[in-house]
Amino acid sequence: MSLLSEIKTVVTGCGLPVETGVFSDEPPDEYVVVTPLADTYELHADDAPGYETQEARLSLFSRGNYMQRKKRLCKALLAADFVITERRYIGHEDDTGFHHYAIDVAKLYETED
Amino acid sequence: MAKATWKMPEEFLMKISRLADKTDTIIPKVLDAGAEVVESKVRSNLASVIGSGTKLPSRSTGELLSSLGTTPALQDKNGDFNAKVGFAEPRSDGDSNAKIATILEYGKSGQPAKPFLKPAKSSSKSAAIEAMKAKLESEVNGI
Repeated sequence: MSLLSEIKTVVTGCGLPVETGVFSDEPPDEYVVVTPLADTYELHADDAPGYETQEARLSLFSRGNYMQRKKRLCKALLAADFVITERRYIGHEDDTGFHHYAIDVAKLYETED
Repeated sequence: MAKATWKMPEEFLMKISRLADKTDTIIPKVLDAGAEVVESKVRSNLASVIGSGTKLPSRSTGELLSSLGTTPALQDKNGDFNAKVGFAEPRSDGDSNAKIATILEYGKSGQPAKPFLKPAKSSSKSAAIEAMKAKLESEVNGI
């Protein structure tokens, strides 16, 4: 499993449509966009890194009350062993009517040979 | 009852004493060394995302990139030293650099995010710590 595929599984499990990068179709009233952030070898000594930290950002767009969705999404991400590194309300987009909420996550993955 | 006493070398004690006196001048230098690494990474990330993948030809003026900088390391009300990497205001067109940077970093509905700050934070962390350690060591050795 990769970070993006695991995130997609979690988000679709919460009943939200999800795409990577940008939502290609006409967006529904609630959806999530995933953006990869960084892959780093933080945890290793002098030998070759055995694990890498993969990070991504989930952008939740909602025209209604986003609070319940946010709570459910965060709970599901934590249950799937993601580390939530930041949660931030970005703002209300007056031109589109969407509330924008960002959740940054990170997870350790064993490096592939 | 047995009694044991340890005495630190006089030279070492003098160094510790001088270090305590110079803490307020050393810390800003150390923070500057770390901030330089972070700013450089933010700058290169920002340069690579500006104007990339735009639907229309880019109208970038270069103002956002040139407004990127680091504040002097100053002490806050709690006594902690902070240096911040960010954008100077205002812009010549009356808009806000911070707003444009936020839209680039987080995107909008229908506009893909082009994160440059968070990846810079993650990828420059180790290098910044190493740069600060090296600077601290050289400053302490120079006492």
